[in-house]
Amino acid sequence: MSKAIEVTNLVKRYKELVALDHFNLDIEEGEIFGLLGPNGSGKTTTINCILSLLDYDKGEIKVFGKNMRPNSYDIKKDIGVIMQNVAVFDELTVYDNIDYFCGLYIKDKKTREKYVEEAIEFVGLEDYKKFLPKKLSGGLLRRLNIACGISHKPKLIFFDEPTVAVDPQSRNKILEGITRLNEQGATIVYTSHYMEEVEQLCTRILIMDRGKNVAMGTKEELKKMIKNTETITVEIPLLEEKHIAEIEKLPHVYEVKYDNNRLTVCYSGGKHNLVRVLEYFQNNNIGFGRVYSELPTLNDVFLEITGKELRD
Amino acid sequence: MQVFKLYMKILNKYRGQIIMYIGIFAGLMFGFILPSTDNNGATGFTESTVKYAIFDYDNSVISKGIGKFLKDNHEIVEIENDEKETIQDALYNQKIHCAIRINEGYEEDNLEGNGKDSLEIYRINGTTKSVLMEEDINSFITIINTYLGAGYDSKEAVKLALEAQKVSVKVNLPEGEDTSGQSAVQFFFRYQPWMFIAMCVCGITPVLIILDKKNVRERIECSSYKFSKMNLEIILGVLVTGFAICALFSVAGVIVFHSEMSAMQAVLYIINMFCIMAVALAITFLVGKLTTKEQVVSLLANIISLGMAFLSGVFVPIELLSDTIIKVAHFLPAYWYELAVTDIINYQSDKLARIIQYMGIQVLFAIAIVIVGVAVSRKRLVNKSA
Amino acid sequence: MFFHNFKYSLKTTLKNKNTIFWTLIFPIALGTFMYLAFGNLFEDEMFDAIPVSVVVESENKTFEETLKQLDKKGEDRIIIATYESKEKAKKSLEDEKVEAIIYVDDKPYMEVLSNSFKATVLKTVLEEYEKVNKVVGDIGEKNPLNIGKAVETITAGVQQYTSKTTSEGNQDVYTSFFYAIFAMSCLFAALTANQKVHSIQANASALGMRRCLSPNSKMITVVAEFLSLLLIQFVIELITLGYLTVLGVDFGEHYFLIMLVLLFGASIGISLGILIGAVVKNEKKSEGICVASMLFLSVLADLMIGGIKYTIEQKVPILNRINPATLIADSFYALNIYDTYDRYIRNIATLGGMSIALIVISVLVLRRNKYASL
Repeated sequence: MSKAIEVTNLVKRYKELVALDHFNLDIEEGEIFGLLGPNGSGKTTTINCILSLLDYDKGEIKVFGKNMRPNSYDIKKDIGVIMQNVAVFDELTVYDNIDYFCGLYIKDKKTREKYVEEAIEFVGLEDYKKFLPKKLSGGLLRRLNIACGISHKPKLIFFDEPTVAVDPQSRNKILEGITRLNEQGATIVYTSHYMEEVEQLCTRILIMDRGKNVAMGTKEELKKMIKNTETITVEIPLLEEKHIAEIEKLPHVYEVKYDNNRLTVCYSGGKHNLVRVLEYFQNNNIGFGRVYSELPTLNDVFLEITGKELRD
Repeated sequence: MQVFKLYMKILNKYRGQIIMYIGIFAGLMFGFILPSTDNNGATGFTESTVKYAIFDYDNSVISKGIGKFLKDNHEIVEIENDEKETIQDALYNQKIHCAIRINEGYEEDNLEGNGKDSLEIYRINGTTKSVLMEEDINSFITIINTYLGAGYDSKEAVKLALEAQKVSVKVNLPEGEDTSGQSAVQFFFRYQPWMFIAMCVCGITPVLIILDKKNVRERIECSSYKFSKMNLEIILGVLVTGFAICALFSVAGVIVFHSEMSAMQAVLYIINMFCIMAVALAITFLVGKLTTKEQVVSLLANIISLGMAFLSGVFVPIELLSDTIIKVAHFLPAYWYELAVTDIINYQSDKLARIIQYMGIQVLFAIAIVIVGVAVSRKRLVNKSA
Repeated sequence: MFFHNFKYSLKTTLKNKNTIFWTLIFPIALGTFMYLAFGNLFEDEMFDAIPVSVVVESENKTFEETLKQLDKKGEDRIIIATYESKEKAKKSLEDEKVEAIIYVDDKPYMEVLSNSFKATVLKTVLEEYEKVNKVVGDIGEKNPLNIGKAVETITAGVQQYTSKTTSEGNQDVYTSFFYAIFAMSCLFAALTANQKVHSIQANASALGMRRCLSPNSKMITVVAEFLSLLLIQFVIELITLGYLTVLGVDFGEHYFLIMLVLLFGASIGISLGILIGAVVKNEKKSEGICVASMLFLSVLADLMIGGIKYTIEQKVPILNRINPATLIADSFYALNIYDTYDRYIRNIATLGGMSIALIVISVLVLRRNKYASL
C-alpha cells in the first residue's frame, strides 16, 4: 500500500513556543487515521502544515509521494478539508455554498451538478437546499460544512474536530458518514480530543502531546503499550487496612486504592480478575455495593504515558 | 462599574477613529486655516478677489488703464506665456481663475466699436470667479467708452473711470460687528457639528453595537448585574466620551482664540458645543440601533454628518441656502447650532435669550432622537420575539 | 474557473443587501442634500427682492431716482423699499423686517445689522448706480449736450470683451461638489473590497482558509473579486449619475467620458481596499484604516473644504498627481478645462495604472499563501 502522507522531522515554532517538535507521521492510503491529543497539543498545526497553509521551520512533508507546496494544485485537487470552524458564505444558500466550493475543483458543469446533489444527500440536507446558513441549527451547519469539504470526492480528507458542539444525532450521522467515505476509498485523517470517537472510528491512532508524537498504532497496540489491562472499582462503605494489603496480594494486581468509600483495583493481565476479587469479599464477609469493571481506554494510555488526563 | 470599564476598554480599541477626526480637524486648523488667516482674523480664501493673468499686446493708454484697474481690484499672477496649453494648465491647477489677452490695436478697435474682438477673457465656463471678473471688466470699459463718447481723450477717460471705481457706499454696522468674512474662530466652531457627528458615530457606535450583541447582552443580563445599572453605566461611558472630546476642543479653542473672544463668548461657545455634542451622541445611539454592521456605520456616519452639514449651513453659509432648505433645516439640530454661533460671533447681551433658546432646541432634538432610538430598539425586540 | 469565482463573488456581494443599499444611498443621499442646498443657485432666481427701509435725510433727486429704478416691479426687481422715519426704520431693522436701511443724502449710505450676503449685494448694486451717477455728472459738467448719448452708452449693456472658454464643459462651483460626491463614493468602495479580501485569506477567516485549499491561483480569485466588485460599484455610480442628471445637475456633454472616470474611480477605490485588506489582517483595524485613508485623501482633494488642494499644488504638486481622490475630481475638471484630452487621459491612465499596481502588489502579498500563523 502506498503512503498518503509522510511527515518527517517537522518543526514549527510560534516565536518562543515550539508547537511541533521533530514530529513524524506516516499515513497509508485507505486508512482512517486518528490524531488524538489534548487542546493545544498541535493537531491543527500539523494539519495546517500538511496542507501547506502554515509555514514551518524544518522538516519535510509529502502528500501522495510528492512534496506539498502552496501551488501544488495537482495534489490539492484530491484533498478535502473539514475545518474546526464552519467556513461557508452566510450570503449563499446551502446549495450555492456547496456548488461554489465544488466548482473550485470540478470544472465540468454536469459532473458538478451530480456531485453537489450527492454531497447533499450524503450529509442529509435534502430538505434544506434553499436555506441560508443562518437558518440552520448547529448540527446541520456542521453537516453543511462537511458537504462543502467533500463534494469534489477527494481521495484524502481531513476532519479537524468535526463534532465539536454538535448534538448526538448529528454526531452519529457525521461518524457514520466518515466510515462510508472511507469505504468508498478515501483516506481519512481525523483529529479530535474525544477518545471515544477516535476509538470507535480509527484504524490507526497517533497520540500527540506538546507537539510530539507520544504513541502510535492501532488501538489494541496502543493499549498493549501500557501495564493496565483492567480496572475494577467496588463501592464499599467500610474496609479495614489489612484487607487492602490482602487484596494487593491477589494475582495480577499492581495497584490498590481506597478512598471515598471506593476501592480501585488495577490489574495487569490475567483472566477472571473480577470473580477473584468478589470471592475475596464473600470469604471475608465484606459487604459491598456497586461493582464496575473497566477495560483501559485511550485516556489511560495517554495518562500513563504523559502523566496527564486527555481532557482536563 | 464593570460595564463602564468594559465600555472604556472596547472604546480604547476604536480610539483610532476619534483620534483620526481630531487629527484631520487639527491638521486643517493649524496647517491650513490659521496660516492663511491675516491679521484681521479674516481668512484669505473667502475673499472675492479673482486671480488673473494678463497679456497686453496693445500697450496703449486704455489697455494700461485696464491693467491698472485689474491690479487695484484683483490679484495678478504671472504665467509663462499665453499659449493655450499654459493657460489651461494654470486654470487646471487653480493658479489663475482667468486669463486676459488684449490684442494689438485694441485701442483703435475699441474706438471703432469693435473692441470686443480684441479683448479676450479665457476662463472656465460657469465659475463664479470668472463671472465676477467679466462683470468688472465690462463695467470698467463701458465707463471708459462713455467718457470717450462724450468727447474726452483716452488719458482723461481712463483717469476718470479709475476715479469712478473708487465710488463707494458707506455701510454702517452696529458697533463690535464682525465685518470680515469667515474667521478662523468661526471655522473652528462652525465645523463642529460635522466633526462631532462623524467622529462620535464612527468611534462610539461600534462599541455600542458590541455591547448590544445578543449574547454579550444576555450574558451580562444573566449576571447579578442589574439591567438598569448596566444601561446607566453604558450611558455614563458615552457621556464621559462626549465630555472628554468637548473638553479637549474647549481647551484648544480657548488657548488658540483667547484673544479673539470675550469671556462671555467663550462660555457661550462652549455651552453651545456641549449642546451639539448631546445631539451627536443621540445620533450615535440611534445609528447603533439602526444597524449592526460596521461598514454600514461608516457610511451612515458620513451620510448624516455631511448631509446635515450641507443642509444646515455648516459648509454653505445659511444665507446662501434657499428658503425651502431653510425650512427643512429647521428640523435639523445643526441649523440651530449654526444660528447660535452666528449670534455668539456678534454677541450682545440682548441676544442672550435667543442664544439660550437655540441651545434649548438642540437639547430637545437630542432627547427626541434618543426617544426614536429607544422606540426602534423596542420594535426590534418585539419583532424578534414574534 | 474565473467565471465561477466571478459569478459567486457577484452573488455574495449582491446578497449582502444591507451593504449594497447603503453604498448606493451614500452618493444618492449626499447628492440630494447637496442639490437641495444649492437648489436655488441652479435656477437663476439668485435672490428675491430685498426688503429695505429708506430714510430721506436730505434730498438727492438722482439717488431717489436710482432707488425707484431698483424698486421697479418685475423680474429684475432688486429692492422692496419702504419709506419711513428714521425711528421706524431702526425698529424695522431690529425686528428683521428689512435687511437694511438706505439713507438718502448727498452721500448716500446704508445701515445693516450684520455683514450678510444680502448686504453685500445691496452695497454692490448701490455702488454701481453711484458710479453711473458720477460718470453722468462728470459729463454733464463738461459737455451737457452729450448726456443723452452718455446715458445711452452706459446703460446699453454692450459686451466689451470676447469670452473664450477652454472647452465646452460646464464647471461651476456647484457641479464640483457633485464631482466630490462621486470621488468619495468611489473611494468608499474600498470598504466592501476590504471585507471581501479578508474572505480569501487563510489567516483572516475560516472561509479564507477553505478557499486557500482549492487548486486555484490567488491571481484568479483576486481578479474575480475585483471585477465583480467593480461591476457592482460601477452600476451604483451610474445609477447615481442618472439620478443626479434627472434631478437637474448639469454634467456637461461628455457623458461617456464621465462614465469612464467613474469606472476608473471605482476601480481605484476597490483596489485600494483590496490592498489594505491584504496587508492588514485584522478586520476591524483594516476597516478603520480604510475609512481613515478615504477621509484623509478626500480632505486633501478639497472634497470637504476648499483650498487645500491649491496649497498642495504650490508645495508638493506630486501629491496631487497621485492622490486618487484628486485624480478622480480632476478628471472631471480636465474635461471642462481642456479642449484636448491629454490631461484627462493622463489622469485616467494614472488611476488605471495605480489600480493595476495595487492589485499586483495585493496578489503578490496574498500569493505567498503560507502563513506564519493562522
